[in-house]
Amino acid sequence: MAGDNIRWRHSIEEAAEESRRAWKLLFIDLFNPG
Amino acid sequence: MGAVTYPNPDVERFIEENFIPVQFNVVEQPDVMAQFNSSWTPTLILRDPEGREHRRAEGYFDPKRFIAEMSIGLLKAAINWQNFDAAKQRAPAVLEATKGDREREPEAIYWASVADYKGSHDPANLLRGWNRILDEFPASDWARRVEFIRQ
Repeated sequence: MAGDNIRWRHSIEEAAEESRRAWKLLFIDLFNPG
Repeated sequence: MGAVTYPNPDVERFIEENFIPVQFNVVEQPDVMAQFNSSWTPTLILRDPEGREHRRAEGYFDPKRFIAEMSIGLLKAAINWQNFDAAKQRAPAVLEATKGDREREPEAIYWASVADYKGSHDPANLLRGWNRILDEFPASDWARRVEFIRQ
């Protein structure tokens, strides 16, 4: 998929933990590939 | 978003610098629609690790509008956290990102003014920005929100 340079996470729990450590907000994208 | 916006180098850099990006394919994981209280895609959400939502946008955004939209989200998050020093530091970049965007530039001025006022307790800092909205964006919804200052 285009945009592969972005390192997307796929677990909200793991991303939240990473967000807490990095002092960054979560950016959540809900998408439909069709 | 995946064809144009996310591959854009400015967008990639912006996301990398500011966010932990999380993506869900709603066809493979339909439950996420209810989990995030969404009924349409694309839905873009800025949330902190405690689950507090700071910005939500629905629909397609080209690269410039995407960065403008999410920049306002960063500013709003700092204000919501009552970190007015951080909000004030972030404001110039948000104003730059929204420059020329008739929808978002007045909103950015509105919130930058709020951050300035909340950090300084000086109403002049609020009125300066809000008067700018009335002068430069008189037809905007944000002008309607502040027009009471001249009544």
